[in-house]
Order: sequence, then structure tokens, then C-alpha cells
Amino acid sequence: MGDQPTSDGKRTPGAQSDETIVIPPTPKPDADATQVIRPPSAPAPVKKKDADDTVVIRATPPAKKKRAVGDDTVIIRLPGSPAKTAGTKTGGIKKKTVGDDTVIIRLPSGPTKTGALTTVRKQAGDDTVIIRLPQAPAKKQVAGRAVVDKKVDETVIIRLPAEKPEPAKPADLGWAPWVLAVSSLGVVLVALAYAGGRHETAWAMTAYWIGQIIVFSPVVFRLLSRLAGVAESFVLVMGLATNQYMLKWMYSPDQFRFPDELQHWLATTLITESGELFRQNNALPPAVHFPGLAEMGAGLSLLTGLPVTAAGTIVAGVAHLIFVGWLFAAVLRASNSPAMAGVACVTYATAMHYLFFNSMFLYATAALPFFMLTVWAHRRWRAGGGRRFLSLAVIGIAMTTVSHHVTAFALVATLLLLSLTEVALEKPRPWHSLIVPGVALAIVCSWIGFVATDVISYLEAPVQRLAASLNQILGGAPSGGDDGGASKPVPLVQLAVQGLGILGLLVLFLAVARDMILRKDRDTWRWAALVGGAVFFAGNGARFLGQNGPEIAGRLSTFTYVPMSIIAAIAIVHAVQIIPAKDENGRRWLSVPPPGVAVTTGRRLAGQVYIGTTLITLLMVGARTGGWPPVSALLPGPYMPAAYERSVDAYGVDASFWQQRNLPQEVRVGGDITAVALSSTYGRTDPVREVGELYYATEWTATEQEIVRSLAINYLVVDHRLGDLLPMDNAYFQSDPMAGKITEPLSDAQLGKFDTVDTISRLYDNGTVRIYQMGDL
Amino acid sequence: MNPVRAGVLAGLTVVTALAVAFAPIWIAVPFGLLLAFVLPGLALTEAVIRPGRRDLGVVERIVLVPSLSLAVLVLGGLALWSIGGNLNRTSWMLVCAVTTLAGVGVAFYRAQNIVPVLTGGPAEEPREKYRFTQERLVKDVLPLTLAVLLLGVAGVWSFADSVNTYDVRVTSLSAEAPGPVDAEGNRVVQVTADGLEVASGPYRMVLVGTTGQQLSKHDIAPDTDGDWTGRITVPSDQRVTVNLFRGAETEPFRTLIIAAVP
Repeated sequence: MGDQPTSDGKRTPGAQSDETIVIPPTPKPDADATQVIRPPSAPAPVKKKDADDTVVIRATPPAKKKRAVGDDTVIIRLPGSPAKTAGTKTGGIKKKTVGDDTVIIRLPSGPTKTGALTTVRKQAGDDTVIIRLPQAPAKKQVAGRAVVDKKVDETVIIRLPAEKPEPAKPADLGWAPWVLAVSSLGVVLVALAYAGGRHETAWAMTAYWIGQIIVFSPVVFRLLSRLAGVAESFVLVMGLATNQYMLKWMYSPDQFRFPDELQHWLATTLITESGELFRQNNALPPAVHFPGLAEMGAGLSLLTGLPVTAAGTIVAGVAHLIFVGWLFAAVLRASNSPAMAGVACVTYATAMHYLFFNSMFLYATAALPFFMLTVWAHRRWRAGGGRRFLSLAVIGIAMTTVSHHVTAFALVATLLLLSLTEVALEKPRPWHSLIVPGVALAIVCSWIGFVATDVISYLEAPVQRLAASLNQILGGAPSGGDDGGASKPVPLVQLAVQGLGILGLLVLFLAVARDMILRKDRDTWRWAALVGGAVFFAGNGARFLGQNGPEIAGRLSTFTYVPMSIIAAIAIVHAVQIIPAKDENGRRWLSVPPPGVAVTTGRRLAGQVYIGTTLITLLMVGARTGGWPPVSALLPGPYMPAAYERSVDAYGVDASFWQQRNLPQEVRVGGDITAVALSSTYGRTDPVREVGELYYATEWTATEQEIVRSLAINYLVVDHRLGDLLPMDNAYFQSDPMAGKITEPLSDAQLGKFDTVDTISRLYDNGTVRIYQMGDL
Repeated sequence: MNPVRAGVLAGLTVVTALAVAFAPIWIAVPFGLLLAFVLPGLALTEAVIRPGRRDLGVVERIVLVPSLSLAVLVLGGLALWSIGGNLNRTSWMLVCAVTTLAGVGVAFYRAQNIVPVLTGGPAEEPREKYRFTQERLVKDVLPLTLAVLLLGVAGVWSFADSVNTYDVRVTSLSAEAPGPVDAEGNRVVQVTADGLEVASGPYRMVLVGTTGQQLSKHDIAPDTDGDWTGRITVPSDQRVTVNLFRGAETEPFRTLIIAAVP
């Protein structure tokens, strides 16, 4: 995956004496002569001084190597690591600085206008660096098509030692510790911002954004500099993941507040209390048959004696870090480039749901590391690693399957994509590469067919809603239930930031796609990443599909953003041309990129670092504004109605614990979004979510009584703060009949009518939250 | 895996298992973390990778260890439950410890009995060891310590701030579902008041019937935690309102409503 071509005359950096290899004037080879320059150990054409790493290139007799007539290629073999070369000038040749892969050759006799300096490209995983020398745009017509005259194409190929996954100094952490120290200052700043949010200070939001950028951007900057080896890149990536997990945890450090986390808290607690799996969980019935996360949490809680909340926080954090680690390992193994692995990881950190949904105590968080483990193991197996990696892949598949349904489906699709690209591009067709997706499909189908049989019906509803929205967009009649336009309009600035980020990604994607197509790239994994990237953009279209569109798009991006991040990393690290130069035929977009990888230095590299850091930071800002929590709840703070984390406070929690102490688990309790979440988890009752009509009615009539009867509601939770503020997401209730049409908070009459009904008892009152018993049904 | 390493790992596993099973929580926490995230994965990684080969890079090894450990926790738990076992501290400890010891055994056996195969994979290369020097102290240890301290301070402070902000004293008045109607047509209701602030008292509870007439009045004396509970008797044919008054306030502080028996 590491071999990305790019280069042309425009990429030539300015003349900088410390970045230049100068080839002394040598007799231009005859048209049919080849110059082969060998290391000192070879019979003499190349000499290298030990002291200054300078390489002296001399012409060799034509007999050393035959070449085709008209081929002016010079092959230079450099002994030792390129990193050891120093920036000294001897005999007209100068080598690059340490850690810099660029070699620039100044041609004393070269034409000055076309540029005496040329960029060298180095193929990762290969020892070859190609230097394209200045050339006259000579053309000749062959079969009606202009081609380059090889006689004037003076290319120098230098073979350098290939990059390895292990750097020369594996234990060298480079600047990672200091960069992470700076990044940690950002964490402190965000902690201050969160505290400011809790106490409603004006400066909190400013501190939040400054903190977010300080946490993120220094790491990105360092990784983009391409000076970090494996150890430094890995430490940077894991350090960033840790710091960002801290940001998530510090939002609500004392307890889970997001409804889904509470649901999994209950699933875990049920295991610790009973010692049994697959116990009924009214809060989230499908999670019963995907016990991976709950087992991890319960196991850790029991082994350490920690409360489930603390154990769950640790498990989610560790799983998140493992996921990032596997992403790094997989890209590193595929690209042989720590820079690319690092950049892919920090780019993925700008995924919409990376900071919260993908690191919350949710079952997807437990499945994601094993998703990436399986992809990595599949890669290792296909690269000849042996059956042990096949075994690891099977373990990964099994773990993903028992942890999360959607991730399991995504894993099957990903493995299938990887295998099919391999089958399509390689000859003879490696049909056995389909073994892993076949095994994955069998395991997932078996689990769903024999154990998690309820997951089909669980996923049916969102799929139907998606289909209905699609149908509506394609001209069909709107279906009931989802009006497709009820969602709150997104602020223009937020849209602009997200749009710019996506546009940037699209540009990078198209540049890499063009590059691969024109170069006739045959790398199966790169093609798979490209297809995955295309799916990412298609998935972004889902955000316009009705009320649930943004959520579906966000969740889909959890998987599709992986290949997109890799594509972005390829484009950024290898500086794939966004706007290619015209070729000798005057073609710009169809000009064939030369083979090899462009590696830049000096001002050009600095420019790329600045631009890349800005783009990725912009993506991060876009993700924070468009991801979770919503902009209005980016900071923790006082109660907001139906605002998920912001709605969970002592009053609601106390009411739910009262239910847990006093009500049987089979009673059905209705309420607003927060009340239902708390009642079904801390309260251990059976939730009824479609109760909006009961609250919106100003009087209690036979209609409301019938709704209570039909939904078999035993209790209703009424939070009087619903009458103070509008809901954050334009809906107080799940399946809210007034979603998107609420113009004022609920009135006293709407909230107080329950007190006037003879058959209804108010059994709990804490001044804010009241619980009503519906009486005989 | 050489004998010394195998012995150390096996010994550590046994000590960890004992600590998890019998030690107080402040000891069980670090050992439990070790058993959940490190030891099983470490042993299995050693067992899977052939001796003399560097099939895994350092990064891959670092990530594989906790991954396999979690896999043992989950798949081991599933296996145990499927054969009728109960998932508690002892059983999970045994699953992890036995798996670790088995992994150590396999790794040790393979190291002793299998000739390293050097074809088909990268050969063993001497790794550079991390040497602790003064330069390292400034370049690595100092900033990392600073980073950890900053994270620790931010975390602890955030936790305390969150607890202090949300830890509001909630005063509630509640009733259990009324009992059956007795021979005199009354029902007994268990009423509880929680979170009463003694300084804000005295508290009194007044019961009002359907027509608005006062049925009874009770003085509430909360305990030191601010809690009070008691039984009240209400007529089954009336819709009874239970008002809790605080201090000299004339409006009820908290209110319950007990519906009449239909």
C-alpha cells in the first residue's frame, strides 16, 4: 500500500544547497550504454566516503549492464541506510538530511529553465528511488499517439534500503513525549471548559475549542512531518487516543449518563448479580444475545471488585485503545510506513462518532478492536504469515460476532471486499482468499440463526425507515411515521465546516483514484481501500435520508471511514498530486504518473505539513460539531430536556432508584426520552416509549385512557422541567408525534392533568419528577 | 519461551489468581487488571508464535496481548456458561488463570521441542534495547511524567467537580402501592420521605379527602439521614391527597395522591 506514485517537474523544490545531491560532470553515456554504479564493495564504480556518507558516482563501462537503445537510465546503488547520509557536499554530490527521504540532484550541465533539480521518489518496500532528470519535451508519433522519446529521458534510479516496520532505533520515542505533554495541556484546558460548562461560565466554549485543538493538532503536525519512526508514531497515536478518551470520560466522569451506556451498564450488572448470560434486558433486548461487552465489564468488575461503572469505563477505554492500536498495526503492516499508519489513525480520529460513540461503554466499542484484529490477521495470512494468523482471524470473527451485530455484518462485508479485490486483480485467481469471509459469514449466520434470532426484527425497523426515505427521495409518497423533514436545520457555519472537510477528503480521494487508475495500480488492498472510500461518500448521502439519516450516516462512517482514512493518508504522506502537471502531450488529468513514490523535503514538506495539519484539524472540528454530543450540549451543564447526557441528574436518578426499590420488574413505565432510559436501567422496569400523545393532550379523555390500555402502561414518569425548555433535538419523546413541530414547552395543563384524574395516583414526588400509577387498566 | 520466563509467568499467574480470590480490593484491583488484560494474552501470544521467529512486530505484540486476554474473558465465559457454569469471581479467575498456565505450558514445550524454523519469515534480529540515560530522562521520562500528571490532575479534578455539581440533595415523598381494603373500608399505605433537611423543619404531613376536608395530620421527625417512613391509613372510598409541609410554609412542599378504589 505504500507505493504511491507522484511527481513531475512542478514538484521540484527550490534550490537549497543542503538538500542537494550533485552529480559531477560525467561523460554522457552513449545511446546504447548503461551506467551501473555500485557500492564500494562492488568493483569500483561508486565510492563512498565513510566520514561524510557522500556518494561519488562514476560511469561504468557499458559492459556492466545491457540496456535498451535509447534508455539513459543511471542506476545508483547506495550502501547502508539512507538515514545515515549527511548533508555534506563532496565532488558535486550532496545527500539529504537525516530522516529525510528526498534526494535532489543538481545537474551542472542541465538546462536551467526546466529546473536543474529533480525530486527523487522512493518506493517503500523497494530499494528503488527514481530521479527524473530534466528533459526536453521531445515527442514522436506512434500509432497516432504521442510518446516520450526515451533517448532524452534521463532517469536516474537509486536503490535505497527499503523502509521497515521496525525503525533503525525502535526504542527511540523521538519527540513523542514532549508532543504528548503539550497535548495533555489541551486535556487540562478541556477539563476546565467542562467545569466552566457545569457552572455556566461564558469562556467555557472558547476554552473547549482551544483545548480540542491543542490535544489534537500537535500530534498531527508531528506525524505529518514524517520524521517519526514506528515507536514514536505508535506512542503518538496511542497517546492521542488516550487523551481523547480522557475528553470523553471527563464529560461525565462519575457515572454513565448516555442512555445506551446505561443499557449496557444494566446488561453487565445482570451478569455480576446472577452469574448468568442471556438474561432479559428490557432496556435493550437485542444486547442480550451479544454479551461480549457485558462479559468484559462483568469479568473485570468481578476480578477487581470495582463497581460496574468503573469497570465499564476501563473496558471501554482499553477496547478503544486496542482498536486504534490495530488500525495502526494493520496500516503499518500494509504500507511499511509508520508515517502513513500514524496519519491514517489521526485521520480516523476525525470520524463523526470516534470521540463518543466509538469509545462509549457500548457493544460496538467491544467489537471494533476485533473487527480490526480480523482485518489485520487476514492481511497477515494473505501475506504468507501462516495458519496461525488464520486462527487469529477466526478468533477475531468470533469475538466480533458475539459482541455486536452491525459490526459483525460490516466485518463480513469488509472481508468480502478484501478477498474479491484480490480475486479480481491477481492471476491466477486466489480463490482460497475467500475462506476468511466464508468463515465469517458462516459464524455470523449461525449466531443470528441459532442464538440472536431477535436481531432481524430489531434491525428491520431502521432499514424500513431508510427504505421509506429513499422511496420518498426518489419520488414516492411519504410513508407514515417519518416525515423525513422533521430534523432541526443545521447551522450554516457547522454545515460549512463539515462540508469543507468532506470536500477536502473528496479531493484527496479523487487524486488517489486518478493516480491509481492511470498508473494501472494492481495493489489489492489499495483498491479495496478505494472502494471502501467510495462507500464512505455514498454513506454520507444517507445523512439526507429522513430524520434518522444523520445517525445512520454517522454509524456507517465508523466502518467506511477506515478505508477513507487510509486513502487520505496515502494522499497526504505520498503527496499525491491534486492538480497534476501537463504531460508532454498537453494532457493534465490523463497524464500518466511516473512510477515510484514522491518524498518531499524542505519548504515543500513544510507546506504539506501545515496544509495537512489544517485539513485534519478542520475535519476534527467538523466531527466535533457534527458528531456527538450535539453542539448545544458539547459541554456538560445544567439539565436540558430530552438531551441525553445533559438530562440525567440527581432528580431523575432518584426517581428511577425509587422504581427499582418499589416496583416489580415487569411493570411497564412510560415517560420522556430520559425518564424511559433511567426507568428501564436503574429502575429495572419495562419501558414504554411511544407515550408522547399522553403528554401532549391538555385533558385526560377516553382516548388517552385507551392508549394507556393498549400499551399496557402501569406508570408514567412526568418531569415538570419539560415545561421549562424546548427539547434539544426537537422531540421530547421517542417516536414523538410532535417531532420537529414543537414551538413551545409543555404547558402546566399538559403536565398537570394527571393530578385531576380520579383513577390515577401520584406515588412519587421529588418536586421535579413525579411518578403516576395508572390504576386499573 | 525459556524456563526462567515460563516460571516467572506461571508464578505471577498463581500469585495474581490468589490475590484476586482472597485479597482486599486495593490489592485485587491491580492484580485483577493484570489477569483481565495481560496475562492470558501474553501466554497465548507466546504459545502461538513459533520460537526463533519474529512473526510479530512490537506494535502487533503490544496490541495482541490485551486482545487475546479479552477474548479469553469473553469466549471463556461463554464456554463456561454453555456447560452450566456460573460466572462469578472464582470461575472467571480460574478461566483466566488456567488459560494462562496452559499457554505458558504450550510455549515452554514448543521452545524446548521445536527447532526454530528460519525460512519463510523474517529472521531474528538483535533488537536495540532501551537504555536509560540522562538524555532519556529529559527527552522521554520527564515529559511523559508531566503528561501523566496533567492527565491525572485533570481527571481527578473533573471527577470531583462533576460529583459536587450533580450531587444535589433530593427530597422526595413517596408511597408504596396501597394495601388491600380492610373490613372498615380503609387501606394502609407505607409513606416515605427521603432527603429531609432537619434545619428546614419541622415537617408535618396533612391528609386531605376527596371533598377537601382534612383527614389527619402527622408530625414528621426525620432521622439523622433526613429520612422518615411510616404507615398511614386512608379511606378506600376517597381520593386522598398527602401534603408534606416544611417549616412555616403554607403551600405543600411535596404531594402524593392516593386514588380511591373504583
